[in-house]
Parts: sequence; structure tokens; C-alpha cells
Amino acid sequence: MDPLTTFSLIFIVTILLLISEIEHKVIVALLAAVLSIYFGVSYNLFTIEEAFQMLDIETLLFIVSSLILFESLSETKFFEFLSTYTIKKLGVKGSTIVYILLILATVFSGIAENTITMIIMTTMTLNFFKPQKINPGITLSVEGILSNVGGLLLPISSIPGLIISIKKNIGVSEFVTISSPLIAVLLAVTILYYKLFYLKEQKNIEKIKSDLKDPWELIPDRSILYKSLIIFIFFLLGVTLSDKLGFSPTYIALFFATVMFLFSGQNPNEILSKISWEVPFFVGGFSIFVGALDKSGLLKIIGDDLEGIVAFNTTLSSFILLLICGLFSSVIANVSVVLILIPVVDEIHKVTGINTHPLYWALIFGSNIGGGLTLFGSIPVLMAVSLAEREGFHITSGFYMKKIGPLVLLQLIISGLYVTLLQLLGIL
Amino acid sequence: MIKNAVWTPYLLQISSLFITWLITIIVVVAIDLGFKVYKSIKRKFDVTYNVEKVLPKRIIHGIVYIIFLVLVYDAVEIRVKGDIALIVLFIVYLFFFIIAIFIFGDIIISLYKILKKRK
Repeated sequence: MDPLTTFSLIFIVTILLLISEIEHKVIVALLAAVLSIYFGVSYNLFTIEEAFQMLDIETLLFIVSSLILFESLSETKFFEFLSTYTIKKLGVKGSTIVYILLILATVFSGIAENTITMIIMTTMTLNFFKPQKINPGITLSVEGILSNVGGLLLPISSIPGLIISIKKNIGVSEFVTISSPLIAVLLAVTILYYKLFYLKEQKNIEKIKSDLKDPWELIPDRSILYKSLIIFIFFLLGVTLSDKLGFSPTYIALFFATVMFLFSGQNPNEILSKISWEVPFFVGGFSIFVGALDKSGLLKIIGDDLEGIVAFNTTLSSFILLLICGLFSSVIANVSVVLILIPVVDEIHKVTGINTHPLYWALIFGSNIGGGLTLFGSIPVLMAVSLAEREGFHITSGFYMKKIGPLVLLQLIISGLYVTLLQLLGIL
Repeated sequence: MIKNAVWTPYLLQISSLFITWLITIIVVVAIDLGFKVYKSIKRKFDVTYNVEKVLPKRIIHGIVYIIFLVLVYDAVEIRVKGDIALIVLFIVYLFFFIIAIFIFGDIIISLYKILKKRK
């Protein structure tokens, strides 16, 4: 067999295993990496040293450092405190509480890891819904998809955004400037959609009250909270000003992760044991796999094929790519979709010479939002559903597709139109 | 010369006995390991999902299995040539064959159960 056929088979196996979720996605990524190295070295496509250079240590270090910082802040119970404090202070009730929960889910996922956000939001939502015997399925699912939307706030808010911003030098200021108006629009549209279509179905929702305890009781140690919060704020500022400071965002993240361990007073062992290690392992394994696909020439072929679809109209190219990326992300982990499509977009640029900046933004938006199309497409939605199931509220795939699917599709279309508009205005 | 005449038939006998023994051991180990692999896969399927829901996943598993057969052939062919390649391929395919008997047997049983349930 020739290298192209072999790598096509490895690509098919990897995609099939990711779609079917027969094996854990980390196992699939590592298997793909191991097979790619074996065949790549055997076919003399690259040396073993070059294979490990594909690992992209800078991205991995940034991911691990950011996870340490997120986990440290979450351990102080800051997010539980903030959500309880906000609702108690505002003294709201009924559907307004639900809208505030939706806003909090969006904001939290912008500054915290999605899994942490969903654990907090699910606990909060169930506290309000269970006493009134309301099924929280729809609200939790909407919180899940808004968590995907919130992941667009900063480059560090989501892994696809982080990978693209590091690889394509998209700074924090540009990221916030481009994505925050879209987040605001999507949040407003989602709340309106909730009010129009979901509120009527949940009759007792207006009976919800904010009988919450003192938020300060939630904090185990105020001193640790203050120190961790200050370090986290400085980390965000440092990443934002990384260009002016003359250091890469990776170094800044590593610096503040060290500062957090040194001065926050938290136990590094506990923090390290709670980090989602699957993320760096998956990204690492998949980076090698994609690097090998690139060397084999398979990505060039995919790029040429996709070029026909994407580049026939340069104005619509980002809109189409966003939809393609969104649809793929609904069945495969969005990190893998982004890692495969980045070199494909590079290839399109080589062949056609079109401006690829809007296309990278299309990848960021499509990969984050598209995961919400299916029940299993994104971690926040999956977590919301499994946590609700643990409490006895079952959400089926059919119910999710029927109720939440159209809303996610609407979000994808709005995002596509937004990127196209920015492209027409010459901003991207 | 006399020594060779005495030893050659003896050695041939031993070597043929040794090869028979070796093949027997390999087949037995292959059956045992194959069954263990199948059991771990089956447990995963049965515990995580119910029979009907998992059918498409079992079919995907079957496709993945067939692609792996081709990849294994390629993996051996690139690195090893000649008789050694044939021996390695025989051992590897023996393991794969035994796992396949159980996996595909299980797919057929699952299909039968679904059809029976629908009737």
C-alpha cells in the first residue's frame, strides 16, 4: 500500500471511533498518534524526532497552565459565591431568576472551565427547580449551549479558541472585540427564544423564589479566595497585554500558575489531581496525528475538495465553513475538528490566496456553538444532561434535538451572518 | 558422517515435534486472549449501552476491525520481509480471527434479539 491509502485508513478509523464513542476520546487520539508515528517513520515521511516536534508543546503548556489557574479559582468556591450573591442581591423571583441563571452560565464559561461552570449551574438550577417540581431539562440544556457561547469570550475560555489563537496569533484584545458583540446578540436571542417557546411549557416557573443562604457561608477560606482572585485577575491582564509585555501568553500562563501555587495557599496536589488531564492528552495525541496526515498529503486532498465548496464565493466562504465546522462538531469532539480544519484552511489559502482570517473565526464560532446541535456533541450539554439524570430528570436525544436543536441552528446562522458582515465591512 | 546419519532423523523429529508444540501453544494462547478481549469488549457494550441502542456501534466496530486487518498487514509488510513476515502475519491474524469469531457472533446474536423483540 502507499502512504496516502494507509493514512486515509487511519483517518477513517479515528473518525469512526470518535463518532461512535466506543472508546474514550483520549484513547482514540493516542491510538491515532501511535499508528501515525509507526507508519510515518516506516514510510520515511518524517523522523521520530520530527514526530515529537508535532506535539506543539507551547499549546499544551498553555492549556495545562490555564487549567491550573481555573481549577485553583474554582476551588475557592468563587463561582458559587458570585451566583448566589447576584441572585440574592437582586432579590428577583420567577422567570427572572431563570434569565439570570442563563446570563451567569454564559459569563462563567467565559472565565472558567466549561465543566466547572456546568457543575455550578446545574446545582443552582436544581436548587430552584426541585422544590417547585419543575423539570429542569430545557433550562439545563439551554445553559449548556450558552456555556458553549460563553466559551467565545476569551482565547482561554475554550480549547478550540485557545488552539487557533495560539497558532494564528489572535490576541486577546482582538478576540474580545470580535466575539463579545456576538455573545451579547446570541445571549439576547436565546433569552427571547426561551421566553417565547419554553416558558409556556413550564407552568410553575413563576413560583420560583430566591430562598438562598448567606453567600459568604459558601467560602471555606476568604484569605485564599482573595489571593487566588487577585492572581487570576493579573493572569487575565497579563494575557491581554502579552504583546506589550514582550512575553508569549504561554509564558504568562505558566508564570501565574507558578505564582498561584506559591502564594494562594492551596495544595498543588489537590489542584493537579482535579485538572481535566484528558484535554492536554487529547490535544497532544491529535496534534501528532494531524501533523502526520499533513505530511502524507491527505490534508492537501481534503483541502482541495473543500476549496471547491468553500472558495466558490469568497463572501460566503466563512459562512459555509462555519456551518460545516458546526455540523462536524456536533458529532466529533470540536478540538479534533479544529485541529483537522486548520491545516485545511492553510491549504485553501495556498491554493486560492483568499484572506483566511474570517475562516479561522468561522472555525472558532462553528466549533464552539455547533457542539450544542446534539446531546453528545459538547461537554457542557452532556454534563447538564447527565447531572439532571442523576437527579431523576431524563432528557432523551430526540427531545433534545426537537426542542434545543432549532435554537442551536439559529445561533449558528446568526454567527455565520455575523462573520460575513464583518468580512463585508472589512473588519476581518 | 555416521554421527550425522544418527542425529539428523532425531533432530528432524524433535523439530517437527517442537513446531507442533509451538503452534498448539500459540493457538491456545490466541483463543484465551481472544476470548478475554471479546469479554472486555462485550462487558463494555452491555454495561454502557443496551443491546438495541448499541447495534450501530457494533457495526462501526466491525468496520474498524476490518480496517485494522488491512493496517496490520501493511504494518508487517513495511518492516518485515520474506518468511518471517509470513510467520508474524500468521500469528497476528490468528489472534484477530479468534477475536472476530466472538465479535461477529455477538453482532449476529444482537441482530437476532432485536428481530425477535420486534416480532
